[in-house]
Amino acid sequence: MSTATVEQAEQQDIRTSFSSDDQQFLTFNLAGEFYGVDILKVQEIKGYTNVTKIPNTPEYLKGVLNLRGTIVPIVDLRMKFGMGVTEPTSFTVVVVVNVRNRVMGFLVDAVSDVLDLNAKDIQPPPEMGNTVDITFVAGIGNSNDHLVTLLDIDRVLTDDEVKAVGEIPAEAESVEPGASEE
Amino acid sequence: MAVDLSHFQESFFTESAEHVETIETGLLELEQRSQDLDLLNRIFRAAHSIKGNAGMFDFTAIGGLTHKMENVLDLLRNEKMPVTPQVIDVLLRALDGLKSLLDAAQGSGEVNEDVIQGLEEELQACQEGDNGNEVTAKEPVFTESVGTQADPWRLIKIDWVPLPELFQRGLDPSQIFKELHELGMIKGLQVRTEQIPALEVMDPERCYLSWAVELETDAQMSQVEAVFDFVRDGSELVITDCAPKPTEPYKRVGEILIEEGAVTPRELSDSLAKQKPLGQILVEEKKVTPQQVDKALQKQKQLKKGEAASIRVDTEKIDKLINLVGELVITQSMITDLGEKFTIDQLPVLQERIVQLERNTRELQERVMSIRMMPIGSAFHRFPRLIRDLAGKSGKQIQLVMSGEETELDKTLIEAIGDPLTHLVRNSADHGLEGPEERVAAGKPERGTVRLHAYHDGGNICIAVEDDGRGLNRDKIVAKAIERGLIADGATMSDEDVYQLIFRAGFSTADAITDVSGRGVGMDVVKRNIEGLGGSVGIRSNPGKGSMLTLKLPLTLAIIDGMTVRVGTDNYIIPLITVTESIRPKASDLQRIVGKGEVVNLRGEWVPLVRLYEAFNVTPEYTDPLEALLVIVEVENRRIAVLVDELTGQQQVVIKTLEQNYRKVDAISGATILGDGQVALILDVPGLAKLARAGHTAAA
Amino acid sequence: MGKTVLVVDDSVSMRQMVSFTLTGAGYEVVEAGDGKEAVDKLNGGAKPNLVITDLNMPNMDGISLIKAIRGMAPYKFTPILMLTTESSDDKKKEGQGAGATGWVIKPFNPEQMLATIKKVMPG
Repeated sequence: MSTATVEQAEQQDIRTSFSSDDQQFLTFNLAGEFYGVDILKVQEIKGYTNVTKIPNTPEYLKGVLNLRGTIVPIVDLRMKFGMGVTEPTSFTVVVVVNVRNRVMGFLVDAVSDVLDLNAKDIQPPPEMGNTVDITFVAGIGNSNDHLVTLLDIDRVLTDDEVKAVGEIPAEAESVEPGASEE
Repeated sequence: MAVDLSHFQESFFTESAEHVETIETGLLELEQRSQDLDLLNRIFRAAHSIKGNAGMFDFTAIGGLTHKMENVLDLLRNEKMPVTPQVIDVLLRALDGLKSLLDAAQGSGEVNEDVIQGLEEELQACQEGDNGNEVTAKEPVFTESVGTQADPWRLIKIDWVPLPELFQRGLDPSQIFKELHELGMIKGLQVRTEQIPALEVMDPERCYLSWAVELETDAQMSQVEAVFDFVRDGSELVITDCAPKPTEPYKRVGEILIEEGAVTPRELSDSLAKQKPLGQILVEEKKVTPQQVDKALQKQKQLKKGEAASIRVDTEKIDKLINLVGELVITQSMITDLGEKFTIDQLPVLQERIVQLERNTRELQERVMSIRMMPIGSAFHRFPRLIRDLAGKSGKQIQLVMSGEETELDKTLIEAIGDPLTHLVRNSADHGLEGPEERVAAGKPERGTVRLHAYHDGGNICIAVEDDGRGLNRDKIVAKAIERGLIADGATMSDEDVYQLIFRAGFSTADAITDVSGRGVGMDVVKRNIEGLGGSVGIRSNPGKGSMLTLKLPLTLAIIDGMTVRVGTDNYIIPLITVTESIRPKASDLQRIVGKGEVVNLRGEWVPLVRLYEAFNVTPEYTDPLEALLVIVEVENRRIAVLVDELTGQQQVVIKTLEQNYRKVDAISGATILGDGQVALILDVPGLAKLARAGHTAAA
Repeated sequence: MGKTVLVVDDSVSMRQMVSFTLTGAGYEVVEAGDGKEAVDKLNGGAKPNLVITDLNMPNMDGISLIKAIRGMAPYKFTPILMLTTESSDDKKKEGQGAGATGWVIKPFNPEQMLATIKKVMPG
C-alpha cells in the first residue's frame, strides 16, 4: 500500500465530510490558543500520568502510557508544534485519538468545549502566519469570540508516524558509547 | 442459492494435514505390524476422508490421487493384497505427492503433474498387479444437476408396492406423493389394502399398503424415477411412460450448429479458444491497465496464500473459559458492591475478595494461554519417516525412540521449532551414529538409537535429541577452533564451552563435519533460530557413548521471565534467558580498546561493555562501572556487559507490542505493564549488541 | 421452518459446510463429531427432525449410529440421511438395512443436499 494513495484517500475523506452539514469538534487549549479535532476521532480523554520514555525517539514523543493494557504513545502537541515543553498542571490532559487503527494520546494544556460547526463556517487554512505548520491544519473555525484552528489529525500522524519509521535508524547511529566517554 | 464453499477450505486444509499425518505415521507403524487391522482401518479412513472432502471442495487432483491410494488401502485392509515394504513405499511416495498437491492448492509450491501422474500409475499397477480381476470402485463423478428441459405432457403410470419396513426407515409415502405432485398432476391414485392382515397379527410399524398412481407431467422420466430413489430397494416398482416419442436430449449451441452444418468442429474450437480471461478483456477495453490486473492477480494469490491462522480448540476448553469469566464477573461485582459502601471494618472481606479476584485472574490467564497450547507430538510426527529414509540411504540401522509427545507448548513455537529440530535429528542420525561395523567394533549394538524426549522444566519446555553414537571429539573441536581463529591457543575451557563452539558461525564446513566432530551442518543457524524464539541450546557429550542436544524454550512467546533493572528513574526488563550473571567489576578488569570501545575482563574473555544510559540517553544514578552493576547477557554466542544502576527483581512479564500503536524501536523488543500500572520496556538483547557493535565501529 | 437437523461428521470442514448450508436455508443445526457424540446429543435432549450422518467415522461409525438411532423410541421414524462417497450399492444397501432413509453422495453441492432433505423431511 503506497503512502501517497492513503493520503489522497484520507484527504478526500476530510473534504467530503467538511462539505456535508454539521460537524463536531473537541476543542482544547495549547499555549493560550484554541485548537479543535474531529470528535469522531477522539476515543477518550484521560488525566495525565507519568509516561515511560522511549529511548532514541523524537523529543515530542513523551513516551508511552498503559491504557487498559494497551501501550499508547503520547505526543506532546506543544512540542510538536514548536511551542516548547508542556509543563504538566492539574488541567493537563491526554486526548486519546484513534487514527487509522492506531491509538495515540495528545498531551494538551486543557480541553475546553465541544464545538458544533456548519461546513460553511469553516474557512480554508490561511496562506501563512500562525505558529502551526500548515500541513496539519484542516481549516479555521470561529467559536463565539475566538478562532479555532481545526487540526487534521491524520496528517499530524502521517508526517511523524509513517515517515518517521524510515528516519529513525539514522538517529540511532548517534549513540556512540565509546565517543561520549571522553 | 449459491454457496461459496471457499469459506470452509481453511478447515479442509487443516483437516487434511491431520489426515496426512495419520496416514504417514500409520504407514510407518504398519511396517512393524503389518497384520494390524485397526491400524489399516485408521489409515484407510483418513485417506477416505481426504478423498470425500476434496471432492466437496472441488480439488479434483487431490481427490483423484487419494482415491487411488484408498483403493490400494482397501485391498490391504480386506487382505486381498499383502502388506509389503514395496506397497508401503509407493503409498508413502504417493503421500508426498498428495502433500505437494495440498500445498499447491493453498498457493505454495508447484506441482509436478508428471510426478503425480506417475504416482497414480504406480498405485494402479500395485492394485492390478496383485489383484488383476478386482473391480475398483468407480471414480466419483460430478453429476450434472438434472436438466430442466421439459418433456411433452403425457401420462406416466406408476405401480408401487413398497417395502414393508418403509416406516422403520423413516420414509413416509405421503412425501412421495407430495413430490410427484410437484412434478405435475396426479390424475388417479388408487390405494390397495388387500395385504392388511387381521388386527391381531398386524405390526403397526409395517407398511401393508400399495399404490397405483397416474401422473400427468412434462417431467423427464429420470425425474420421476428419482422420486423413488430411496424406496426402490425392496419395493416393487413399475413406472410406465405413455409418451408418444422420445425427445431430443439437451445440446449445447455449438453442437447444434455443427449438426446443422453452420460451422465445422474446427471453426467452433477456434472460436472457443478465443474466449479470454476477464482481465484481458478489461485491459483491451481500456477499463483497467495491465499493471492493475497484475496487481489484482497477485493480491488474489496472496489472499489464497494467507497463512491459515486458525486453531482448533476443544469446546470443553471454551466452556471452562466461559465459566471462569462468569466467576470473574461475580467476583468483580462483589467487590464493586463492597466498594460502594465500604467501611474499614470490612477490610478482611475486601482482602478475601481481592484474593479471590487474583485467583480467578490467574486461572483465566492460564486457561487462555492453554488454548494456544498443543502437544509437541505434532512436531515429532515427521521424524519416523525422516529416520527411515536416512537409514535407508546410509545403510545404518537406526531406531527412533520418542517420548513426551503429549508435552504442550505454544502453537507458534511448535511450528517454529520444526526445522531446527529436524536439523538436529538429521545430524544425530547422519553424523552422530556410526555405521554397523564401527558400532560392533566398539562393542555397541549394531542398531543405533536416536532419542527424542520432550518435557516441561519450570516455565520452559525442553526437547532433548540424544544419540548413542560416537560423541563429540573435544580435541578435534579445539584444534579446529584454533585453526579458524575462534579461540586462542592455550585457552582453558570447560567441555560445555568447547562443545558450544560447534554453534559458532564459520566453525564447520561440510567437509569438516564428518572427520572432525561428527556434527555441525548449520548448527549456528539452529542456535540462532532457537535464540530468536527466546530459547537456548545446551549440549552434552560423552566420547564414544553419544551426545545429547537440548533445546530449551519458553512455553509461549507471549510471556517471558524477565529481570527488572533500573537506570536512573527508568525500569527495563531483560529477558532472563539471556542473562548469564551479574558482576561488580574491579578497576583492573576494565579496559578501553581502540576500535572496540570499552571492554570488561570476564575470566579471561574480553566482553564489550554497553552503558545503557548512554545507549538510551537517560540520566543514571551511577556512571562509574565500579559503583554500578554489570549484567552479563549472552546472545548468538556473544556476551555483552550491560551497565545498569541496580537489579530490582525478577518476574514473569506479558509481552506487549509497541508496534501496534507506534513502531519498532531499536534495541527494544516490546513493553510490559508492571504491577503499578507503569509501562516498562523490554530490552532486545541482540539489538542492543548490534547497537554496541555499531558504536564501536563508529568510535574506531 | 424451525426444523432441527443433527449433522454428524468427523470432518470439521464438512460439518461447517453442511451447517452453513442448512442454517442458510432456515434449519436449526446440532453438530456431532462422531456416532458416540451424536447418541449423547440425542440422549441429552436434542430433538432433531432429521439426521444427516457420515458413514466413515471413528469411535462409532455411521451404520452403527443409524442402528442405534432406530433403537431409540423417539427416533424410530426420524428420517436419516447418510453421506457417502461410495457410488457402489453396497454401502447404500448396508445403510438401508440399518434403517437409513436415504443418502447424499459426495461430492454434492448444497442445492442437491437441500433438495434431498426436502424429499425426506416430514412436512
